[in-house]
Amino acid sequence: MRNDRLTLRGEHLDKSFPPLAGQTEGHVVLSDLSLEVRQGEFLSILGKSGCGKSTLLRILGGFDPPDRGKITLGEQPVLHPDSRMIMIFQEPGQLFPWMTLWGNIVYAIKKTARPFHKEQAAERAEACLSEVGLTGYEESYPHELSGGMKQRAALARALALEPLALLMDEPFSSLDYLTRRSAQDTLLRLWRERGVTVIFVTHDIDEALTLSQRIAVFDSAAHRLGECFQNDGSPALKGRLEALLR
Amino acid sequence: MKAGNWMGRHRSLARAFWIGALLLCWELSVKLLHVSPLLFPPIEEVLRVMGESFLRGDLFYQTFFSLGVILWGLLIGVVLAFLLALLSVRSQVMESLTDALTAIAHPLPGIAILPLIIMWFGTGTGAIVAIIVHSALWPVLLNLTAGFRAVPKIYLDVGHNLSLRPLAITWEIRVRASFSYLLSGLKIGWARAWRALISAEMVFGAIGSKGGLGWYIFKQRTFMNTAGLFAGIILVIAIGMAVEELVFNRLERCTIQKWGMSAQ
Repeated sequence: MRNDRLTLRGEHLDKSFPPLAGQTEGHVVLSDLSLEVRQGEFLSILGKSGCGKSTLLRILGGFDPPDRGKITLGEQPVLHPDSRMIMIFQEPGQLFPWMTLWGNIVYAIKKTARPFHKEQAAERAEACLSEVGLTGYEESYPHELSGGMKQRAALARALALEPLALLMDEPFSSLDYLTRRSAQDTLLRLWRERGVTVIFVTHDIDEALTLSQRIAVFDSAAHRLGECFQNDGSPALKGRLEALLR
Repeated sequence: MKAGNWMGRHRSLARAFWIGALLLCWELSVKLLHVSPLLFPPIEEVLRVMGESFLRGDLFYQTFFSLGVILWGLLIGVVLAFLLALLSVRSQVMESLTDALTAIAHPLPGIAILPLIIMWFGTGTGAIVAIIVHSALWPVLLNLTAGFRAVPKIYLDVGHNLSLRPLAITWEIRVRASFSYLLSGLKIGWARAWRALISAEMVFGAIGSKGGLGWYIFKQRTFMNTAGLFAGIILVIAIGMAVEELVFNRLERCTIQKWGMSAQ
């Protein structure tokens, strides 16, 4: 069913932010950055805080336009955000607080599914909530959930839309160690089951090693992706990444 | 355990306690100090007059008249505020216009433009509605635009991710996300409108066949009916408290408190 030709490509992306007060030159974030992510691949983008990883993710998702270059998903250009690529943000506050967990998920399905069937949506919402282990919390409001549960719920909402790709911006970085590990396990299991493409931005080497197939290191001097590694989970790779991030 | 502890826990109970204590002081000072009932009537006299006025029907009618007028004014004010706030989200020109308008009109007390309103609208119900609209519109607008501006970017990003149209972004995300601002704007709007209404009625005299609460209070002074005057004042307080508790607090409980958004 999945189309293997639905590769996500970013080609020659440039992005700089306008100069701050008192500065003459703008702040370069991306410079001639290219990347390619195959359908179903799990790619981590590893980089120091503030190096531009999040900007790259926003541009890939169509949230912000690049200054130059283009993004394509399969044959189609990505010009604005849509439900083919769902972003999961770092902040746990990404669920709408005025809706219950159930409401959040059904609302998202309702806004994106064409045509929308009520029973189908309910079935899908129920399945996704159970997959992230939140059955029984349907009627809870987001503020009643813990940080880890909120991120799981965001994952459930994203998966309920059956996206081609998940764009994840350090989604687990605000969680404590055990909660993070269990959220990572859930993500890995869902990725394997669903074959969804995942682009996962993180500054945590262990997290990248735990999750991804491929790890790209963001070269903050050149403002583009530097070396790219197949993740074999070896201590040698870990040492290499540590050296690169120092 | 300290004696004051329960007062912190049960605010409405504590309030009732203090109101009772104040009423007791009132009654005692009337009975013990023998002040003239023309200046300070005993409570039972006030209650008797209030009951009489209610039974005669005029106080009842006047209360509902006042509340009806204020409801109209508030409704028009809120709808106008919504329209202006929505327009100023969509366009920079409109935003600077509403900003300037609010800056000019917000500090202007409703009662200050009464003479002008009389010249423009005469002294009918329309004039009072105009004053109430003025009193409610600007604080609600000020809060709404502030709320729309303060909507966390992440909700808008999620909305865009769901391919929402601009209208849906505004209506289904901005309006809901800024609900606590809307509520506090409404509270201020209501308080100002209520004040403006009572004073406007005193200045205008009777509007409609029997007039409203403000007129009732004013009339009691003319007849030197101090007990009636107190009855009117107590009613004004009671209505203010009832609206606060039954409308605003209830609304708050089943919206922003339930949503965990009352931090503002």
